[in-house]
Amino acid sequence: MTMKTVLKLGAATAAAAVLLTGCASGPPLVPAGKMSVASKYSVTLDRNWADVSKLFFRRAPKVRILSIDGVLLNRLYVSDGLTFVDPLMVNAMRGDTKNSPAPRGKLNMSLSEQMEFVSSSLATMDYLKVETSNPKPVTISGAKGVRFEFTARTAEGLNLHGLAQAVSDKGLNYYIVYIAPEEHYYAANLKNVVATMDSANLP
Amino acid sequence: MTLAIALTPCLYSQARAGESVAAATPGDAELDALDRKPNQTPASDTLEGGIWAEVAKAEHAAKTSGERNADPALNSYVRGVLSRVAGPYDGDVRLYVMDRPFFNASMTPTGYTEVWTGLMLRCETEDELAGVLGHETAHFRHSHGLKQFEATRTGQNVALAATLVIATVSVGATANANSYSAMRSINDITRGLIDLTYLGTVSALMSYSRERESEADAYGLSYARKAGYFTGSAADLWYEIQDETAASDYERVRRMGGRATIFDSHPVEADRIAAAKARDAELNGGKPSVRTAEEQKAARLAYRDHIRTYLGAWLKDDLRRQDYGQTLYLVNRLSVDGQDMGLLNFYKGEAFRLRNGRRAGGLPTDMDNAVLAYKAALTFPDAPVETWRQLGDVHRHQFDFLGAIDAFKHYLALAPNAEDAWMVQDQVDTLSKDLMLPAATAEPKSGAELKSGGTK
Repeated sequence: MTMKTVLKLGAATAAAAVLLTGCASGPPLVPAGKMSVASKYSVTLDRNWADVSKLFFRRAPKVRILSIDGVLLNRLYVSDGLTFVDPLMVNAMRGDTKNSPAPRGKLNMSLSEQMEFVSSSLATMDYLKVETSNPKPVTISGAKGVRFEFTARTAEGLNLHGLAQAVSDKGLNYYIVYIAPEEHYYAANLKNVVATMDSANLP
Repeated sequence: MTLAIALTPCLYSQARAGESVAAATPGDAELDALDRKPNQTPASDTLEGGIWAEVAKAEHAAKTSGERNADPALNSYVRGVLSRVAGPYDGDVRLYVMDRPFFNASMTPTGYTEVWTGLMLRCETEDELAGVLGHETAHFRHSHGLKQFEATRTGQNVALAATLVIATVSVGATANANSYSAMRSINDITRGLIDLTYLGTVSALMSYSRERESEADAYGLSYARKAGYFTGSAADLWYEIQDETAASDYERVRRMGGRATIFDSHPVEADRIAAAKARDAELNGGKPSVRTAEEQKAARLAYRDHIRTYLGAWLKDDLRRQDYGQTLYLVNRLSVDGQDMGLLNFYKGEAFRLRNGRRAGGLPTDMDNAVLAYKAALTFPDAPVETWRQLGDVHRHQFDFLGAIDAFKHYLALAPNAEDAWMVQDQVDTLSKDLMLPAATAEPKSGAELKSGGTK
């Protein structure tokens, strides 16, 4: 075995080690129980989730993204209180720039405008044919809000189903958005998502 | 001389007369000098056979795409236009109408054809749609994609040849990039991204040289005319695209001028427009084809009848591009004949409301203009009932709470069982409470009052 071959093998081994280390670290676990989002705002998870936020190179700064089975199979966006300058979702490829702005809300949004904001945020994530439905009133920490379903589709034709909650309090808007493939995955963790939405504890 | 083509519904019968005219047109003999014959398919062990196999993957992705439009009536209509233009090659082309709010159509060397709904929304007449499809058919009939590949492969442009090869083998990898945001980029934002990813193979094979574009323009007009379509307004669509580009909210798009659309490889330049006009005259015995204003209007109305069902959905899709200046330009264009004014004014209001810009110097804000547009919509019977709800929301943002309550009450009266009725009722209750109004004062104004002076 020549020195050159040895060096090559060594480099390959080192690269593999780095990759394996990367795999092993993975996204951090968010254990069942109280999860502090920020600014004294928390939700309580009834099962373990993974915090996949950092897998998104570009993302909304005030939003945490959780998943159970992987980002393509279920995603739960939990936002801190957002103002009209804060995006809910940012396209990981395009980012949020002057020429490619992520959707923003408005001051003093109505519940229907908040539904529209969620819908346009989903559209900026490349989900197609986003349609909201079945809005129901919710009261979270004494604040009025809306919980609604939505459907969407990926460019490849995969049908998606989602549940979202929007609550306004003291000029801030708190969103929790769940999205998963319509077949199997949406229903599989719906009760965990509803429990999380019910548990929201506004500051 | 006025061309004897008056109404689009009559085109097919008049096409018979048109065919005889076209058949005698100088230069038409070139049409027979084709590189491809109907039903021609390559052997699998040839270069062309290999390309077909790769393009088939892109076609499969189109078949199963979430953006494929499945409406039978729309597909049948577009297929009918394509069949007429394709003529003897009808059996070679396969159509996929895609729900994408951009001005584009494409046809690969295999006959796989896409027509995007944004193109249909921007065509004013079936003749314009036929002109675009004629252009694409010309690329197909003359095997431009294959010629381009051969030319680049032989070393005339090594870099482009490499691009073609890479794109050809990377269809699967780029399928995911064929996304809404990527498409949105066509018109405005990350143009670099779309150049790399737009439909992979298709994009590369459609990047024809100027010479082939000119050839496709000329042949395309011939095919459209042979099919009985009016070719005298071929350049109009280009002008409209230029103007829509100039109306963009994005400075970067405006600076790009006529090159800012998917037709980047189809530059809109004076000589090309002049060539289209010259070709039309050539096909028309030396004189430009002309229509009277009434004939052109009739053609527009006939086309509108075909797309009316989809107008709302297409405009809603167009708003998702977030280039509201362009949407407003488009809505104004669509309003030229006073058709569908309730729906069009509703979407005009939506564009203003979503843009929500402020103007200096006391000029009306976007919200002011949204109110005007919604109110204009409500004077027409085809205004969506949601117009009242949106008007209420804008009034609320303008602190015109009485106006908001009035509009919301109209919405509730017209859509008492709407899913969001409880939210709108909640707004009425909250605003009434804020104003300390008894419920009785919040009765909605009549439609007549609105027409005469609005809610203020």
